[in-house]
Parts: sequence; C-alpha cells; structure tokens
Amino acid sequence: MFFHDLKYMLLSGFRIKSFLFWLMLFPILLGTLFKVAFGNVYENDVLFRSIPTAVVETSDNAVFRQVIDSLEEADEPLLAVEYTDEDNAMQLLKEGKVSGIIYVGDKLSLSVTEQKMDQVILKTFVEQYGVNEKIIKDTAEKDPSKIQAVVDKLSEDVSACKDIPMTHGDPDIYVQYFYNLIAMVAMYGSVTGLHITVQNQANLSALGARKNCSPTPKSVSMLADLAGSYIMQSACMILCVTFTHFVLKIDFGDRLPLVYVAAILGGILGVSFGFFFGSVNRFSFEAKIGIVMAVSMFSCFLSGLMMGQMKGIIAEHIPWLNKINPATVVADSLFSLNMYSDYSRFISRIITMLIITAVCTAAGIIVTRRKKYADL
Amino acid sequence: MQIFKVFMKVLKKRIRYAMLYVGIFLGIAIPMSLNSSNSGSTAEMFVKESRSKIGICIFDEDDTPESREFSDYLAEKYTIKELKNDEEVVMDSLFYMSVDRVISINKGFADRLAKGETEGIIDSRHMHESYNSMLLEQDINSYFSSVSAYIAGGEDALTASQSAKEALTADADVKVISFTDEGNADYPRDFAEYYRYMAYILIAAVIGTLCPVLMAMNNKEIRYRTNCSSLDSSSYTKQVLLGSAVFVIGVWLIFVIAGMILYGGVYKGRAWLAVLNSFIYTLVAGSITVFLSAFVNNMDIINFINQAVSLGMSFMCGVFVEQELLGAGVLSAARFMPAFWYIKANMLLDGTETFDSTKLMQYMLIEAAFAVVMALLTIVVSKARYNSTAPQKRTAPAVNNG
Repeated sequence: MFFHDLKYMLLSGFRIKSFLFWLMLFPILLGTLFKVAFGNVYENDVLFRSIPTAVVETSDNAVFRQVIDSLEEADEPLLAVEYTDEDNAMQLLKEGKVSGIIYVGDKLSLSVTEQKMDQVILKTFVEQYGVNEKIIKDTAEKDPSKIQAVVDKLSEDVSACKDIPMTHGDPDIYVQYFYNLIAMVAMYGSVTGLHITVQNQANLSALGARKNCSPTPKSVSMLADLAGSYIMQSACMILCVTFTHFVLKIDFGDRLPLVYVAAILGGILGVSFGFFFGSVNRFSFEAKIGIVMAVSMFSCFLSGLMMGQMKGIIAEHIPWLNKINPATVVADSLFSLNMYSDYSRFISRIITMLIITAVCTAAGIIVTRRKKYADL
Repeated sequence: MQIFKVFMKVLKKRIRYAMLYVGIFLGIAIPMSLNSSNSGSTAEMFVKESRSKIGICIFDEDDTPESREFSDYLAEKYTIKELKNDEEVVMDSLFYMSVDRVISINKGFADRLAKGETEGIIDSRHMHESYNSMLLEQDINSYFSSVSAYIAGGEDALTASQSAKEALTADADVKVISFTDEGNADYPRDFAEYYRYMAYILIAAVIGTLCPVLMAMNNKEIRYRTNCSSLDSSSYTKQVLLGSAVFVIGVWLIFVIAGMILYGGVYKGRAWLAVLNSFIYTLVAGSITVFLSAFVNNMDIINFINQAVSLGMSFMCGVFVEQELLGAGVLSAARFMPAFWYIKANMLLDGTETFDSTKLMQYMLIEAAFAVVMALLTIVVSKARYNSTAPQKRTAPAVNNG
C-alpha cells in the first residue's frame, strides 16, 4: 500500500501546474534574470581597474614622470595615464573617457566631474605629492643634512600590507544570489509539505476526508506522502542546481556533488517545515499557504535574496540568527563549500538542517496522529 | 454602465492584491529614499563621505603608542568596526563588505617601525580587489612612507608617526567641473530612484490585479452571452476600457501622491516630467495587461507571465541594476522593451545623462508607441477570438434541471 500511495502521490504531484511553475520554471526564470543583471556587475562595479587619467603638463616635472612610469610597471597599475593638452583633456573628461585631469606644474592639481571612488583615489594620489613636499620642508627646517635620506625614503615603493590569503573560492559577491535562489526553492518546498497535510486533513479537502475513512493506516499513507514530497522536492533541487551550474555557468567550487547533497537536504527541510506548519493548526488552506509563503519569503529576505548584504548585516548584529534561519543555513552551506577548504562549517550547517528537518517531521507526525473529526 | 459596474464588482474582490503590491513597494521605497536623501554635495563632503562609508577592523596586538597612532590615523578617515577575531566572522564580514580590510598589528610593530622597516609591517586580510580595498592600501602605504621618511629625517618612531599623521591631513587642489546642466535640482538622483523602481511595481501590480478581472470578464461563455445581448459591442469595450483606466490611473495616482510625500511637497520643474513619463509608462502597463487578458485564460499562466514580464524587464532594462553596469548584449535586447526607454528618460531627467528635451520627447514617444502597438494587437486578437461565429458545439449543458 505504501508504494501504491507513493506512486499516486508522485503522479498527482507532478501534475499540479502551480507546483511546476513555482518550483521548476520560476527558479529558472529568476536565475536567468540574476545572471543577466548581475553577470557583469562584480567586474564592472566592484573590482578595481586602472583609473583612466589625463595629465596636462604646464611645466616639466621629471619626478612626476618617473613616478608614473614606475606605477605603470604593475600588473594592474593605479593609473592609466594619457599625456595631452588641456583642450583634449577637457574633451576626454566630458566624454567620460577619463576620470580626472591632473595638472602638473609647480604643484599638482586635479579636475574631476563625478564624485566617485575613482576620484577619491586620484585625489589621494595628488595629495601624496603635497605631503612629500611638507615632509621635505619640515626636514629642511630641522636638519638640512638629512634631506637626501628623506628624499631617498620617499622615492622608495612601500608595501606595508602583508596580504593573508582568505580563500581559493570565487569571491564574487553576486554568486550569493544564486545560493539564495537555491535556498528559496528549498523553502518553497514548504508548500509541497503543506499539501501533505491538506491531503490528509479531512476538514480541508475531499481527498483528506476520503483518506481518513479509508482502511489504510494513517501512518502508511502519511509516510508515503512524505516520501513522495521529498522525492518531488529533490527533483526540483537537482534541476535548480543543474540549471544554475551547467546552463548559467555559476561556479559553486570544485565539490559539486556536495552542492547537490546540501540542496537536496535543504529541499527536504523545506518540505518538513511546511508539513509541520500545516499539521499544527486547523487554519483554512488559503491561510496556511499565505502564512507559510510569508514565513518562507521572510526567511529568504533575511538570508539575502532581496538585499545581498542582509546576511552580513545580521552576522554583525544578531549572529545566532544566521545559524538557525532555514534559508540562511541552506545558502550558507553552499557558501562554505565555495569559500572554505575545510568542511567544519559545511558539516555544522548540514547538521543544523538535519536537526530542523527531524524536529519538524517528528512534531508534524505527533500532532497528526490520532486526529479525529466529530463531523465534517 | 452595466458592464462598468460588473467590472468594478469583480475588481473589488481583487483589489487587496493591488494593495499588497502598493503596500510592500511603499514600505520598501520610503525608508530607502529617506536613507539616501542625506548625502552631501560639495567636493570635500564627497571625499570625506566616501571614506567614512568604508569599514575597517583593526586587531592591535602590539598596543603601543605607535600602533595606537596608526589606528587613530585610520579611525579619523574610515569607520572602525569591532569584530570577533574568529575566521568565520572575519570571512563573512569581508565577503559581504561590511568591512573592506581586516588589519592585524602584530607584536613587535613599534620596534620594526623604529628601525624604519615598513615592508609588510602589518597583516592585512581582504576579499575583493575593490576600489575601497585599493584606497585603503594607498592610504596605509602613504602613512608608512611618510613615517619612514620622518624617521630618516632623524625623528623617533612616535614623533614620526604623529608628524606623518599631521602631514597627511593636507588637501589637494581639486576642482569639480560639471558638464551637465544643474537643472536636475528639482529632480535629484536620490528621489529619481523612487520613479526608477516604479517601473517594476506598476507592471507587476497592474498585470497581477487587472488581468484576473479582465479574464473573468472575458470568460468565453459570459463573453458570448454578452455578445448576443442587445448591448452594443463598442459600448462593452468602452466600459471595460473605462474600468481598466480607472483602476490603472488610480494605482498610478497613489504612487505619484506617495512620491509627493517623499519629495516633500508639490513637484517642481523636471519632477513633473518624471510624472508624465510614469503616466505614459502606466498606459503601457495597462495596454500589456489588456493584451494578455485577450488570449490567456489561466491564472497559473498569468502568474508566470506577470513574473516574467515584470522581473524580466526590470532586470534587463536597468530598474534593479543601473544600465551602465549591464552588458552591451543585454542592453541591445532591452531596447525592444518599454522599461528601457522609461529608464532612459528618467536618466535624462535626473542628470545621469545630459538633459536634452528632444531626446526626452523621443523616448516618451517610443514608450507610447509600445502602448499603441499593444492596443492594436489586442483589437486583432479580440476580433479573432470573440467576434467570430458562435461556437458550434456546447461542451456541457449550462443548466441541469434533472
């Protein structure tokens, strides 16, 4: 009887159009749109690129040229300099082809149009010249014999920061939208879980009423429905991960099988959550759907689906919330696979998922068993 | 006005969905606009503010006067954030950019500085090779370059640190040139964002609410019954269109009035042009809805189309992500969507692009053309669908008296 129920659960489940839309088509649509919109943002807006700068020399300044030459030797030089006359420089600035014009004379000055980070970096670069002048002037006042030593020090390249590598994963902050997309599909599994209770509660559906008076033990039909929902939800999760990785080419790191494991467990968590919520109350179907969707979407909001930095903000102020919020736990398991070389954070998130799943499923079964209806 | 009244009755049942959209949009848009309206505009303000928005965390294990001088130097420019010295916390903060660099000042810092050793004197962790990270590195290097120069000039490490900190307060001679006209004072960029996001919500709210109503009105059996009544078909169309117009303009007016509250009074100058732009876009949203309801009669499909159209246009046309950050291929495809031209017009008005009234007119006309095309398509589809000969077969008896 278990397999009979399971078979029909799957057949009927995959025929629900809203299920196909929200759990299969919508993630594909949203993922594609994320890719279209965020595909270039990290490179175009976050990553540093040499700042295009026009230089207008009003008098000869060999030291400045020397500094610029030494800067241009770097892999990603601070400035991409174009020496030109004032009219052309103004034209370049107007057309947005340069971020600023540095005028080189006795002193350096800067002209900019916009007020973004490019210009702040240019300003800092120009200021450094004024600072060097002041240091030499101060030394000349105190001990003129040390001027040469000071000039030598100032002309040295300083790299005061010893960089400690953080990760070998992809640091693109926009990849997290795809982690959250997968978490969203997992949380939508709560609607699948809710259907189990609707199909088993006699006051909510004709099917529920029929099942309640059938000779099949409730435990058998309930477990078959749960197993069917887990299978359906897992199929959705597999589709979502496959689409994002193989079609949209999102880099989840080099441990893809574990990404599938995390996504499937996330989906099962979502189903269990919906099953639990549907079981513990006798609200109407619409009310249950409304509340479950609201809770799921709020969980996704906290994990950063609508606002990328949300998880970071919560990590700063209420870090424990990130460790229990279901959507964050799912997204974070994928994040940890990409960013960490060891498995400790991943394992802790998987354990959290398993605990939430076990608690929700057990609680759902406990409150469903022996439920009686005086009349319908 | 029988049809109009029926239309309104059906609409009444769906109006809570529209209100849900309106409520969520205003709930998000109002705090966002209030938050961004405090930014300054002078050249000095921008430099100061740009830096103060950058977060940095310092773990000072040396805890000497020299290390404190260095920390103070950074604290004066940047926002110092306290973090737990834990790999997970540091990784999250760096990844989500709540801090751009985490600096560790190791023991022995003051001794090394006294010897003039500045190479790799501090440990630095960062995640993104970003502008913020680059600026921080530039400032840190300037500081240590200056300190080591003062030390070479004969000062001790602490005095050198203090002198360097003072020297680094020097300002450059910066001239901010504006090539765009200043006429956008009546329509500042912060406020323009409200109208930018409106492109999403108008389409989503109008399709999500109006389509089911029109679908109910276009239900085949009801429509055939209406067609064979004494009611003139043009009168029917006019009444349905009037009902749709009342709803669509009503939603638009709510957003415009809520915008006025954010704006801080009655719109002025270019802000009225933005209102006109949004009105034309509202007509486009309405025409898309009427077109969809002419041939789709399934709520699931409408839901899917609504998400695809509203989110698709918003992501591709520059509503959620600015147009300048989108790829060239995406923008080429977006040209065939009305939201692209709505956003282009909005960019002209807020001064992102140099204002040109001819261009603005052109963009608005292109938007209006989308509405006209949709209306023509609707007429073609409706004629083919509902004004053809009556159905030959009845699928089921209408009334069963048995």
